[in-house]
Amino acid sequence: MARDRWLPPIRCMHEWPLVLFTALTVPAAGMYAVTLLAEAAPLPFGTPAYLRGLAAALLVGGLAFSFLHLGRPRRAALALRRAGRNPLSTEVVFAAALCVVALALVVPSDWQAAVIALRRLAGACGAALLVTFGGVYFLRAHWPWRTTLVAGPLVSGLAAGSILLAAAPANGALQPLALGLLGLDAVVCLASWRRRRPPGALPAHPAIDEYRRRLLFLRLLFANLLPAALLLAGFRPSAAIAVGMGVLLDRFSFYGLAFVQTTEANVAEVERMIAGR
Amino acid sequence: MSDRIAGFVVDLHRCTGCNACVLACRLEHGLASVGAWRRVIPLNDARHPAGPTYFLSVACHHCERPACERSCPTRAYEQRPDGIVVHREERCIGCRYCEMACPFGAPRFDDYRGVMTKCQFCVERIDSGEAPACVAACPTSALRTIGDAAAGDLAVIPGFADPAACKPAVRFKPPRGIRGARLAEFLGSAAKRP
Repeated sequence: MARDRWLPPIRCMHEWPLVLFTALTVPAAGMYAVTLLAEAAPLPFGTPAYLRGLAAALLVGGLAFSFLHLGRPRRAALALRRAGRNPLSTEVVFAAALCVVALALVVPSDWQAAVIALRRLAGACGAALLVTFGGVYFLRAHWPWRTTLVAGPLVSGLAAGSILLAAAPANGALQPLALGLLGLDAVVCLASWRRRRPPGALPAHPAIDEYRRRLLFLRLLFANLLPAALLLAGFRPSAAIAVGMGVLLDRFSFYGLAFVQTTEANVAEVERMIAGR
Repeated sequence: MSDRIAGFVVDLHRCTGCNACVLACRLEHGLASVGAWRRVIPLNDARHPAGPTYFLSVACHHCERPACERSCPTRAYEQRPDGIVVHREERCIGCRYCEMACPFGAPRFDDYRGVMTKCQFCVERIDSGEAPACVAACPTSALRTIGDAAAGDLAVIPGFADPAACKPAVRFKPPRGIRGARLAEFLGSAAKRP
């Protein structure tokens, strides 16, 4: 297909609600997960009201978008049937739990012990959700997905969440942690996407796959390089905006540049072998 | 597999790629909005001398360990004692996770009804003692069910990956007249995939 546009077409993707769902929930879940890391370090930090409100809004919005992917959204509650035994069911439970806890944290309270307990619960749910995001795609029978890609949601969530937290004025001590997580995220991204095409697999979206290099460059730029530079320069809110765009590009790339294993792809692989002889 | 009837045997020597099985499936189930559950995929249709030519008639393979059943969050897939993997539409939320999990492209999303669909091995015909529509329609008897066919057929041929994770219940008889050395060479190439 001729490339006559600067950006790839997104209408061909049925996964775009999932892109928005994960792009909104990953930073919010990561932010709460990073609070656990910061407590364990220990590093001084705070979660001001506007950050808690932002996280809650991102989670509610993300969950709302997730319904748009379902063919029968009114039956969505059925997805809870296999919680604990099915990664997608488990993901739904953690996403819903994190949303509820995040909304509870928005309510002003003087009871510090309860606030701290809720924040730790949100951290645990956030970390579990990020791990489950990867687990959903670690498909036993579908080997193109069995790569470091599955670690992407966790590391990108932690990186984005740490930038969100570090953007708050009183959280300057989190800057080294944020930079470290950005570096780890960049390494995982490069390790995941260095393979051009696994044999026996085809691009899930060939039209988007044509923009592979450009998308990955933009993803690294907005998710890693730009936030790091802005953070070091002291432009912390701008770093948060940049990493938000980076997460969106990362999630779009995750689905848009995926490979799928099908019988057609296997036959195409053999055809290439035949033609090459 | 002695009690299992769900599974197809495809004789690659007899299959002419006529697509009668595809048409029969579509007519039997009225698949206007979702497309065919069965596909016929040619391999080396251009008759390049370096490789064999045959047609792979594939649908749902009713695996012994179905990836769709494991991946479904709502238990919309059930496997009967005879091995047929049935999709319960009333439990389906249309999340398309099974479409991602299946390495054979069997589950298909019905845009009009918002649920997944797939080959059900014509359970109504099976329960009334008939063969699946695709098997009944095949003019050369290239497509048969596992219960009908002779044992000892090859499971894995070039162009068809057999992921041990789900153990597809499909067997292929290799095309006759193909020199064993050439087929083995291609099998060796296919086996080198990670």
